[in-house]
Amino acid sequence: MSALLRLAAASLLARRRTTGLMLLALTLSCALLFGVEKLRSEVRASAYASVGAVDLIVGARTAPETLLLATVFHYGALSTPLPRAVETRLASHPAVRFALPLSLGDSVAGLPVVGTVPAYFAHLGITPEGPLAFQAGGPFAGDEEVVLGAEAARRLGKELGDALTLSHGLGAESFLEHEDHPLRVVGLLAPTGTPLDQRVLVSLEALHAAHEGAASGASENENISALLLGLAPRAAALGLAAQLNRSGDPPLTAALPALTLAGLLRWLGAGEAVLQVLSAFVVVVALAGMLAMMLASLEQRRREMAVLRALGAGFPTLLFLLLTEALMLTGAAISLGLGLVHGGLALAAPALQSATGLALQDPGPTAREGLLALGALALATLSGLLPAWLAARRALMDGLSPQS
Amino acid sequence: MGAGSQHPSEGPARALVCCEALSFCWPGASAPTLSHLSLRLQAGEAVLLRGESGQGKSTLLSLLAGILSPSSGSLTVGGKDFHALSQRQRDRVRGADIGVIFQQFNLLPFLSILDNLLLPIGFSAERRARLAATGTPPEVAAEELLCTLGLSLKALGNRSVGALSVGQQQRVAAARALLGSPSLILADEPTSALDPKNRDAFLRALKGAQTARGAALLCVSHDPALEPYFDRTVTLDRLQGGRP
Repeated sequence: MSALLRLAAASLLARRRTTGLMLLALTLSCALLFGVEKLRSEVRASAYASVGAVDLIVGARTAPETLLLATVFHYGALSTPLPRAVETRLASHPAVRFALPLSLGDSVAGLPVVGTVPAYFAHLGITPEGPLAFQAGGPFAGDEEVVLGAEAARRLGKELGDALTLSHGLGAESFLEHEDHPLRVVGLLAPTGTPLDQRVLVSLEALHAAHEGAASGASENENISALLLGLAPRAAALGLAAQLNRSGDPPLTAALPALTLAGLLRWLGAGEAVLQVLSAFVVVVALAGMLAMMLASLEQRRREMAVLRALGAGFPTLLFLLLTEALMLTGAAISLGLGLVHGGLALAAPALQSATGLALQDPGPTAREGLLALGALALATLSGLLPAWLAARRALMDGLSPQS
Repeated sequence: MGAGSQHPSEGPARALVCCEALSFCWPGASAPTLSHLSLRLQAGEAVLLRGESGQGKSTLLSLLAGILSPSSGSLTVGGKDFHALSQRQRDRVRGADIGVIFQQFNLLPFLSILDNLLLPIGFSAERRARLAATGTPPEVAAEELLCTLGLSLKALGNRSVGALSVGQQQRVAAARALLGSPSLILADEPTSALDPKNRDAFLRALKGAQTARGAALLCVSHDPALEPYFDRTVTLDRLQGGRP
């Protein structure tokens, strides 16, 4: 058995040029397969983590998807403001555990500025039901203070106690600098792997002051962008959403974030499926290449087979030998592919996070990746069967020595 | 050296190889390649089988090696009835009791000389056990056999198989065939790739090693110059009862 394995390895090594090229093709195809799977699962995990403990998002009437994308992912804008009176009204609702106002639409150096209340930090931990973790400092208390997401702090180069000036409008270029209204950094959030990492969080009052220039505080007539609600029991979300969506003064939209996200991801799922099928096909193509290589090598290996046969190797032994070669190649390609994906992720994670806000927490190979690897091995066995069977059969037909 | 006269007590039960009325027809062929062939080979005997090419000498070797199965007639090797054995069982008998030497390309180019020599004991547990019973480590046994054949691993050093001359390759192949003491050596035109000088040297070495190990040798060749090295010479025509 081990003698046969050594023989298979020696034979593969003897043809190291074709073997190497084949291994390269198989490795890259496996890396693509695992990479697509990794990205798929990571995007999903990160998206759901971004929603956190929020049970309901309320805004002026718009599409639920728009509301979710604008408040959670900072994608798109909410054009109609929400009167702050709605917050007061909803906060007294018996099922509402917390109601957190959000004021969106501003940016610092391309990073979204979110105006909210200090309670935000107490409720929106990434593992639901917990407070947010700080790597330094704590929540803002007054309107001269600011809290930075981990990535925001890195990109702005700010540390605890530094000064920061706000500008109005989304986008990297600011048109209204308020050099006279600097805020002090009082908290740095720990990395979460969600869009929160890129946020600059200030109080509603601080944002208002930046807009008005003067030191006018927040008032009841002030507008906000949206409300994040946490409910108890959480199942109350459905009923409350239906009720809010019917209300006409002012017209409201209440989105169930998990449900809306699931809808968006389902829509994205078609694209994911295409990617997965394509990457699986690339593996199939690489295996077809291996099959072609093995078939092409059979003629030059006729002597080798005749020698083994003369030494007492039977049909099962030759079959085993050739199948082992196919499985050795594919097994090595799978290991290298996994190494490439996970090693590559570890190396590329910082760059990816600063570019997309996607923090890839790589927990190592998953069960799904194991299944994909098994699938690839099964395919390799199937495609190895044909040359193995042909070679073993011909070795039988050739008799003791091939007539060539 | 007269045919059979050296073995007064010979009989079917005592012969190492015994073919009676053996016929073989390739699938789809109109005429049988071998028909009604009778051959007896005693233990330790060296026999040259002569015949023109295309007469079925190699087919006979494949039958004796258990790779092909006879169409009719009886064939026993070492007391085992090949007709009654499955392909797998015949493969096992070949691995354990039969050594094979081809015309050329006997060695696997991607293995070292020593690994080539040790191949048979990797494939056959019986050979491994026989060698272990002698108490000699496989590497030492291989080197001893090679010495009997006039070569030495030490002298060859780390040379790759491809760097050996054809004559040297044939000697390594002969040593490999003999490792683990099989009772029968089948050689298919083992000297046809050698010039006369190398041919004679190889045959002397092969005959010497075969005699020393007590294995029977059946060598197929069209070359009459080989006859002096063998106990007797037979032709396919005569074995098949004077078939034209």
